[in-house]
Amino acid sequence: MEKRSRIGKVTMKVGKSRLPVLCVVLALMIAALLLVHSLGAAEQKADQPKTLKIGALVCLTGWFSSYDIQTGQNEPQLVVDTVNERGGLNIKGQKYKIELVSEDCKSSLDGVTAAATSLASKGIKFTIGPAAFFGRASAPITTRNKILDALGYNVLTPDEIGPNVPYTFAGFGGAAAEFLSGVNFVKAKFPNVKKLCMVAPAGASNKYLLAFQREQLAAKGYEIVGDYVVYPDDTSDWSPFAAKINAIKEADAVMWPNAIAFHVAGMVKSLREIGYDKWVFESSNVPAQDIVKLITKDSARKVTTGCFMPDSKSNPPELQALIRKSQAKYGPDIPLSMATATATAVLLDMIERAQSIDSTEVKKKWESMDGQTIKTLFGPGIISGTKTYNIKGHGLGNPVPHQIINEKGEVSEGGFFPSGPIP
Amino acid sequence: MELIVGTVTNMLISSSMFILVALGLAFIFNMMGILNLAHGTIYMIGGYVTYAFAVWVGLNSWAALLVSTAIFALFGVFLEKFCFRPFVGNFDAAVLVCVGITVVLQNIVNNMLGTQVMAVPHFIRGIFRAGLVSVSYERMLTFAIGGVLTAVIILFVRETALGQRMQAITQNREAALLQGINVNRLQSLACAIGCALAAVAGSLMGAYTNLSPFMGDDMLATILMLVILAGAGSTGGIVIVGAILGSMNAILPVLLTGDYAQAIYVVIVVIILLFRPEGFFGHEA
Amino acid sequence: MNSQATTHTVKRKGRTRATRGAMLGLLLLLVCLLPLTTDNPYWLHIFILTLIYIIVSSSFRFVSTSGQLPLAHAAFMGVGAYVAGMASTLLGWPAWVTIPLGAVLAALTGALTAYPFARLRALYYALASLFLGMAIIYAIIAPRDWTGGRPGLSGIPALFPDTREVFYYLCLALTVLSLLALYRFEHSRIGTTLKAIAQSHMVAGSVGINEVFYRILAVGVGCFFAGLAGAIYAHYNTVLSYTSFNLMATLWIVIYVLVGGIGSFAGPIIGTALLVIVPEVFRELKAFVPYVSAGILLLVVYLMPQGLISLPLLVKSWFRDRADRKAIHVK
Repeated sequence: MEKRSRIGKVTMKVGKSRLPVLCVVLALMIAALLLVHSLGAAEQKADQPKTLKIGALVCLTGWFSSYDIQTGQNEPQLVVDTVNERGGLNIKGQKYKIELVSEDCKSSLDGVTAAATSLASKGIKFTIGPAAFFGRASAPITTRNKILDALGYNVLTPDEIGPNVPYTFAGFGGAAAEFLSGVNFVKAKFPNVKKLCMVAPAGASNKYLLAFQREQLAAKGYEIVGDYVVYPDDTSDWSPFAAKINAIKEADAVMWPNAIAFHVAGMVKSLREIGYDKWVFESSNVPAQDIVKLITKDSARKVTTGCFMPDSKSNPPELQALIRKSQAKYGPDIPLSMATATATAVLLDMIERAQSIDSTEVKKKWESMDGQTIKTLFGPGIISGTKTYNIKGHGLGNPVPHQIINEKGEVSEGGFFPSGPIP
Repeated sequence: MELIVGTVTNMLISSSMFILVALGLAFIFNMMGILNLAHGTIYMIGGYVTYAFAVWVGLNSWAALLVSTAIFALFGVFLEKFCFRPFVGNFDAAVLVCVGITVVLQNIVNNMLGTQVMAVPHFIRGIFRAGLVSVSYERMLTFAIGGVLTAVIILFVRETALGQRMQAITQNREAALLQGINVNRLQSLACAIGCALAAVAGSLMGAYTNLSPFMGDDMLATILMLVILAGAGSTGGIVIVGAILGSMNAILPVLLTGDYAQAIYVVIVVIILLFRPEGFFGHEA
Repeated sequence: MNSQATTHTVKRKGRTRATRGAMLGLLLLLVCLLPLTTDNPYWLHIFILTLIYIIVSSSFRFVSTSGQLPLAHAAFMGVGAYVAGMASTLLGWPAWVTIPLGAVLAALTGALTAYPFARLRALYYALASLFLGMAIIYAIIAPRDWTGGRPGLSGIPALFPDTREVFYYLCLALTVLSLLALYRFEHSRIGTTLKAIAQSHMVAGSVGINEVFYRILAVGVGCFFAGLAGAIYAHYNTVLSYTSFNLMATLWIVIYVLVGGIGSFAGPIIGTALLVIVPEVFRELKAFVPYVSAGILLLVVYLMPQGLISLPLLVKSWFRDRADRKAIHVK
């Protein structure tokens, strides 16, 4: 006597019953659910009365997390710790401790939207991040909810910073500042280079950024040879792109304004293997020591990156203090970038300057400081960018440190080069 | 000219690695009818385990590779017994199980190691230069190992008694059972070999490019195409199809800009499938 | 024929049509009141996403009643989304034009691309459509200046951005209408024909059913709703990234359907609701959220291979078996 049950068009034989196991597992799941929720509730009760919550839009999972967990969460946390140690922010006589609330952006634009929505629903009024090009997804939501967002990076699109999204600000210079500083650096240290092969990841290859780069390079007397070599951000096989770069023969060197360590390591390794021996000028924050460690001195040669040397004398004291803190807390081997950390420091500074925890007040204060210089982790930053972003007081020009890996694979300091005000 | 040389070397390397991993997928698919969607993840984790043994335990890269391969052969046996055997012939369930495994493994790696960029330490250093050719020894080694392993596997399947029994199962499962062939044990073996091959490929590629928790995703799409175009039940055909797809994959991005190349590549595969859905070399061809 | 239909209904659920209608009405009422249960806008966001994905997974299931798994389904959702997105950002058309446009173009693309594949079956069709889906997505992201490429398309005007509740009700209305339409399709002659083709294409062919036509029809209808959902999603999310419509996205839709139960109409609804909402309940776990989904998957595949919809039957049969087991022990 066999038992059969029909569900729709499918017949199921219900012989051996696994129901008890199922019940146990379901019960465990419900218990876990309740536990997680009670923990969440307990945390809320333990809150101090005067805490200012700052949201952090950070990619904790996905391809960008290799960069963003450290940059978008850990380093800003160190900034927050530093501020809390000296007593927190002083707003109109009341002290505020800062609490960083991070939300996972899942390395995709949808994930950013979900994360921004989640932060908005928690009543948070200030956020930092996201990094790279992800700001395009969060800006509409943060603006709609009047959340002031200090972007960890931006790629010059009007969806990130612009008149439609007046609550987002560049907390760190972003693609504009790194590029301008990089060009100044190359001009100073490599005066013989005139013709450039341009490389960019897809995420930093939008028409606004490329137009900006072309305009600036032309103004400074550089010639771009061939088309931009654009690669997908999550590439794993770099050889086709290395081949393309190699095919652009007339260029004196490669200029690569935006990348993450993952990209630089792979590409440079491929380039050196196929015998491409020219300099690669990369100007976003990729620690050079990491590149050397990853691809060894055989390949890591004749590369510049836009990062600081951890123990350099030219590091501003706050930056050096944070570096020490990070090495103590997370170990000496973790690559540091301090970009979103800069945004965090700038945001907290602005909140204190505005003497208000109302996001609109802080926004007005920030915009009113257009043209003025403020302190950033990398040195004096200039609030600017009216022409580039079509809105006054939302961009930031800051100095960017550079490193040089010479022909022998030795890393040396290139120095901090200012970007100047963003046009 | 350099572009051509560079492209040809690229093509050889990519093909050899795709073929190696695709052979593993084909084994599992042919024997059990299960399309192992977690195969790309096994490839990826094979690389990470080699890294772990090479860097944390301090073995040299070769020893680490061997250890990793052994671990994944055992993992293949475990996978077959608990995850594949209950679902033989059931495509829906196979999808669920494979995606479940993929998500778990990818996230374990991402949570534990994702913050750092890592590469398996070099197996061999130095760059070989002769005239226009400039190739690193590592690339040549990768290709050589890939080629040797592929040849060994194909010989194993064609010439040895064990291999022929596996072919029998592929061709007609019931008949093989009737002949007294121990299907379960051979399934285990096939799965073990498949996972071990993926681990080797992952380790080699992890030295050649860098490790990433998501390097398996692209690989999966490619090997799916490879296995289907080669046809169910074929092993030798995979080499030929692999060479063709590998060369397309290496040449197209050089000719066209990034995403157009990908689009055209997949469209070509789709069109081929339209005309020849059973593949070129399978036993249904 | 009519009496057969009624008896069939009674046998299926052991209840009359009236009772079923009342239950559905109650469910609808609960769903309408859902926005009032929480003042947290994030949950409303999740509910809206659930509704959108319910349309997608139900339409997937509809196509699968013809016997094949259309593994390109998420790509067609993407077609609808990108059409709506581009039409509103590049051409400035309003949402009430772009949403139907997205749905219709997705349906057309689906039908056109289904034609060459209409004779493929089983695994071959599944994989061919899988690769087709990949090709479509790459084709969408290739022209970077139009579609934003890999980083994605942003700046799509949102519908009712300030009142999420209004959008929820709009979405709910569209979801209910879509489900109604799909249900009617499935229980019409077209649906029966599709089931006939699924059971045996040879027998179906022998009674004069044009398999190719009906399969293309099924895909067209399925893709219409997938495109509709995509277009709504575009106007809700205001940003599109290709990762929402790629291979993994299709696999997740398949999983939503399988976890719920592919054999029944309510299966995709249950599966989608579970797999979208439960991981969000655990959002606090941050990086460990994917394990929750994986856990649900593995749970279902090992314990309830027919999907969650089979849970009541499992429970009933367990109780029925208890009597047998007791009898065996006594012996």
